[in-house]
Amino acid sequence: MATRSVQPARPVTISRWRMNAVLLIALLLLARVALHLGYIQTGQVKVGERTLRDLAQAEINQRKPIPSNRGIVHDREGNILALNVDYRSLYVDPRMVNREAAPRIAVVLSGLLGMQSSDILNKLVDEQYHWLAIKRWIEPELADRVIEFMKQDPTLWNGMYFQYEPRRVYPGGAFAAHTIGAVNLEGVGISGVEGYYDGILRGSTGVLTAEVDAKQNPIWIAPQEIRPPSDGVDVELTLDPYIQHLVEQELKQAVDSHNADGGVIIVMDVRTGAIRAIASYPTFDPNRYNEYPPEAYNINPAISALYEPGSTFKIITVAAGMQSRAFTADTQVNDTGVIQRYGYMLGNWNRAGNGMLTPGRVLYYSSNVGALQLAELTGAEAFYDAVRRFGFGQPTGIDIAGEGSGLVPNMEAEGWSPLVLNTNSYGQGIAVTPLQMVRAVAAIGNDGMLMRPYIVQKRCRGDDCVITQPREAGQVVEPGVAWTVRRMLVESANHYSPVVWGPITGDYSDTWLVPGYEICAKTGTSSIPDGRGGYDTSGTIGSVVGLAPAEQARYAVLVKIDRPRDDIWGVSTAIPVYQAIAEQLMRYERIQPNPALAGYGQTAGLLAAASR
Amino acid sequence: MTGWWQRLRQRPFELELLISAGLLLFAGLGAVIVGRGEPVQWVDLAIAAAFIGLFLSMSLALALRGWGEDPIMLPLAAFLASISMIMTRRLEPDLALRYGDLYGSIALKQVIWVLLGAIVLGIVCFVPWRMRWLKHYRYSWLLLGLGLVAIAAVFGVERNGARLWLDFGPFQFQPVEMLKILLVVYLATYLDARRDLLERGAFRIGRLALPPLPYLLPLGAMWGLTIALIIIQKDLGAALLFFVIFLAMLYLVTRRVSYMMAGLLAFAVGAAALYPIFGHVRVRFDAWNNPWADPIGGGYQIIQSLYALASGGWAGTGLGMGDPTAVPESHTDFMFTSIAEELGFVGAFGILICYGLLALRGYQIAIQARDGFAQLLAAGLTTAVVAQALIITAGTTNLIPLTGITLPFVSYGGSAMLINFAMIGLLLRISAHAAPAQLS
Repeated sequence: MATRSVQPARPVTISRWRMNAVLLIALLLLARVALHLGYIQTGQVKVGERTLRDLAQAEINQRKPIPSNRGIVHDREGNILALNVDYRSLYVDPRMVNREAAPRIAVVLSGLLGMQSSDILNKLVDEQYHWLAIKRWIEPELADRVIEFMKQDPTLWNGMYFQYEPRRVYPGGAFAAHTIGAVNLEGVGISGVEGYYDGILRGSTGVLTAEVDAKQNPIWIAPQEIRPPSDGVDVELTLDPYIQHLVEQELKQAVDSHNADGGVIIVMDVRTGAIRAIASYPTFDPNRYNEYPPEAYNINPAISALYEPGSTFKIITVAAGMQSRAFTADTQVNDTGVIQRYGYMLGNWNRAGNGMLTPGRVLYYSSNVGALQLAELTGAEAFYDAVRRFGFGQPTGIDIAGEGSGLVPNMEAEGWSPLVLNTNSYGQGIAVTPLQMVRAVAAIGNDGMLMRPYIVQKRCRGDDCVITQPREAGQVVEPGVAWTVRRMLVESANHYSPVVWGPITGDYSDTWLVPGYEICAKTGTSSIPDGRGGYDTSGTIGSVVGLAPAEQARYAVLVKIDRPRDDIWGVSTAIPVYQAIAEQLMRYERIQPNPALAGYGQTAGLLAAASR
Repeated sequence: MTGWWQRLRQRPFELELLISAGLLLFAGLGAVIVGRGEPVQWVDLAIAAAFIGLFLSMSLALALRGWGEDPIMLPLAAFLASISMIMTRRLEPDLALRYGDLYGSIALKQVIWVLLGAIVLGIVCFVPWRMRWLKHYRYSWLLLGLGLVAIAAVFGVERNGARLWLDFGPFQFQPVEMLKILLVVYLATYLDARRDLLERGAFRIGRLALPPLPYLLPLGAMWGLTIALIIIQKDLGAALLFFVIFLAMLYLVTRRVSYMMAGLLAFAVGAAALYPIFGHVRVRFDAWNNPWADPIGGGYQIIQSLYALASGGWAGTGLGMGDPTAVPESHTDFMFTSIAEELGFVGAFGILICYGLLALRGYQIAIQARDGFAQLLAAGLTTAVVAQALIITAGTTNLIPLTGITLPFVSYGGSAMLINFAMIGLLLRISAHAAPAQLS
């Protein structure tokens, strides 16, 4: 092959040295940028007398948090239970205030805000602070007047800032106060739903820049907002305004008229576990919560106050025994009025015997001697197992802050003896919360399915809503057992009817508690532990718990009255309240009365008060 | 078919680098999500996985085809685009909070742009087109670019006082980006064809040798037209960028530093002449000279940027922990500041190193290209990317007057992303030394 040596007129390619030169320039320039960047980021760049980092820090320090709009709380009908009102707060940056004008500012402000002018003046000249509140939560109208006034001479008002500071307002006052809870002055929910859902109700805080203006422009009136707050989530409660109102009224009336210490009423939706009403008395006004002792607004007796359930607990004793097949509805025990166990004499309330009793009659007569024998048939293990499955001894998981868990004796613990089982069978020596008790009875009404109680049924951010789904917490008894217990509780309820109907009809025999309906109820009188191992003899807690109506039950209701002064058993105080509530609930739910369910002097569907 | 395994094994580096970029993307997104206490958005991670899958399969396809493309370019672009997606994802909620819902979905949009960009890159790499077409239709390309810019100047939507965007309903297109690539193609063609003349110089004025005027004239005319359009559009950043590209390519052809010097002098004279005439030039220059003279006016943006940089320090405030949106345009022109604030000097330096590597590989490709046109094209494209990065990083650190252009592959923006990926695609094509001869 011939070798051809061609010297091209120009090379096909461009010199690699030139390429490398361009590359070198590019790399050098990149290095220059990196050097400069490092100098700014890590060096002490001075601007005037201060370093860049100090200035950046100062800029950040001037950013003040703006509270977000707290979510609104509604009841299930959409009525507002808690909202925010746009109060405004007046802040001052003393370093920006015109010294000579300070006294005049103080005088003017004192006139408008009704404060001591000397106090205001002290704040205006206190240069160790960068941000001081002159007055917080000024009503919108007053704030407008202050701004109006200030606009007339803006140069004097350097360093003054108005900031929106929404404040929580509860239009219903004490209405459902324990449930809704309260928000403290820092905007933090401290109890109730406000406490439990504080995180989502609060939203995220925004940032406001109090502008230090290099040109000394008066920009006090409209501080530049850097980051608007993100509003909280609105929540809708399961509370029914009518039922809540009803129970609050009944509770207050009963407590006041019997000169009791207080009380609790809970109405729970049996199918879902939704709380329709929850009232504690005495109550408080969350708008002025700080005027009350802390225990008034921190403690919600309905979910946290422990009490001995007394005879109401016999429902659990009977249900537990039948579920474990220890006895049937026909099993009989001998009620001798008083019985000896382990060296102690245990007896009925009146120490009178009732003879051979089925479990139903044990409930009917509220026989302690009968109940303890039934529990003995069941055995401690099965008994406590059932008690725990009914949800006692642990929080129910309701979404209200500050729930108690109760105390269920542990048969493995030291100090436990079979005597404890005996007294537990009629609700002594065991501590429950009112919510636990009503929830357990609701499970009887829900064919044995225990539900997790809840108070918030919907959470909305704008139109984006999350609806709470009812949650099952376990089948505690079979539907058949639940049905049998309900039958027994109807008998029991009818046994209490004369407390209400006797004075009206003149007939003191058993009759329908609410004419036209089958209602379940069981009363209980609880002694109050005195904290020294004995019982406080000066008063009792009377309670009633039940279902209305008995079949296809809508509601489980608990009425608890603490220390009524004119009624040592508490029962004749609580029964009329329970009766009135059950009666109203049936009407409110428009449940058709059964005309056959009416006794002497009663008309199905007619209220007790109207029958008088 | 034999040898596929061999080919795969010849290209492990690219896959390794891409996997590293992918891991970084997941780590970054995870940090953003966890750090801000937000619920995990699986859609983010799914998108990230799609992104990585696209790049990995592209790399595998390149390896299997065995044309011997550069193995570093693709991972570099993927890495920078990952940073971009992480940062837009991180900035989106803050921007939406501070400036409203306008920015509500930039993270998703950016991801779509990156994916589209990767597809554009794939088309450039895999569709068998002839590089010669670029040469043959050079005037068509140039007129297309200029036409688009002209259309944008007349019919486009105005934003921040500049009319740069063509509105296509859901997205807007910035023809200047397109012009960038077309101008490089045109210059490469023109300069390559007239290399001898330009190199030798025909006229001599003293010691200064000038090329024959008729050859310099069309070049100057084209350049003048481009610059004029940009001045009308008030797009200083693009003007500076085009000028730098032009000078760099001219130097490569002529070897003459004197041309560059003359060019820089001309630019300085032009800028000085524009200073009193154009308000926006004056504002930019004054803000650079002393931002603190007007801290809440012209200097605001650059001061905020400097504050952000200073509060970043060595290691940064942490991803999601800073307040980068205090700087206006934190997701576009000031993306570099956002990164430097939250990832610190270390992170920002890493980004600069990436552009350094890009320059290294880009000019390497140019050196190894088989003819003058391909060399000039590769060098011009590399210069375009690196110079753009330099102009904006130097601008946001106030080293030079700020001009609003994007940080390649990193800033939020659709047309820029597509064009940048197309440019990387072209570079890969040029570097494909084993490609069939008729395609190059």
